[in-house]
Amino acid sequence: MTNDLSKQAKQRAQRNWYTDGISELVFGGLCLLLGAYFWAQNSLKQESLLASLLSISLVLIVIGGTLLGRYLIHWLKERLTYARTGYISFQSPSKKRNVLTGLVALFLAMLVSALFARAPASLEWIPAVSGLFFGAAWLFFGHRVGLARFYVLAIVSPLIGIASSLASLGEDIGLAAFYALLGVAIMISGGFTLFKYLRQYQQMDAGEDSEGVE
Amino acid sequence: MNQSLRDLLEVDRLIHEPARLMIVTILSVLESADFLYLQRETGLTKGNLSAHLSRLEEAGYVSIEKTYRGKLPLTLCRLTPKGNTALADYRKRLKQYMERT
Repeated sequence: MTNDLSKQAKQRAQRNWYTDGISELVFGGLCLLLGAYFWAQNSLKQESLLASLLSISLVLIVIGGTLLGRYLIHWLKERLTYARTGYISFQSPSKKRNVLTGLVALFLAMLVSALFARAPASLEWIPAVSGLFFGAAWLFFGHRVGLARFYVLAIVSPLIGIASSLASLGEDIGLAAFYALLGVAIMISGGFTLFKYLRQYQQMDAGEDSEGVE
Repeated sequence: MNQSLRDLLEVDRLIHEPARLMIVTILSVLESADFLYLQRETGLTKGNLSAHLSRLEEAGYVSIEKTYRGKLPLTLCRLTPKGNTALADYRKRLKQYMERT
């Protein structure tokens, strides 16, 4: 009985993290950044120094963007969310879970490498595969936190990916279009959620103490 | 049956109280939560929540830390190891009782 209540409490807490749409706005921004990266890669001359630097900087952009995104999420939540719906921090994942996450990441990296190795001639299908991957991720998050808008994104992501692949825009422009459209879709979802959230919840005054525990 | 009924007398009454059970259940799945979050989740009034948190703190089940996030006062509540054990024991006893009846 109390185990069910614990599960519910956990899901509600996870849902609370996404209730303001800030994470989506930041993640959508990161997707736009990736879109700009692939567009720039296509636009720059292949022999130029900038193009060479850009081609090896994808990992740095992803890692740097993720770290910056995490900082930005906390910075925005401190200013918008905690004063409205409260602050929570989650328990650190267990060792077992960390190992499992690492194995899944390793499997995905190997899968992507194998796909690249087997079909080096045409990479135009990558947006479709990426779209399916993002769709699966949104489906997982939607199921985990119980938010309907994540299911919508789970449908939209593969559609954008398939459309980008079918448009035959070329490898880089296809990926640029995919990430740009995906970023816009996620930011629309996050922006609309944040707008609704700010209208629904009033901010506690800075001087007002939230409670009276001695 | 009588023994099963008597077992019910041994449950931790501090946790058995519905409002406090809500609080410890919420805190058991989190690292920490502030007063505002607990108030929203439980639907208790400030005074009520404050009183229940004080009781849990006195029993050593919950630790309360007053801090700031920028200019915003934040009262962080955490379930202590003692509180975790008490909740686990409460679950166990209740489960045993339900299985017997």
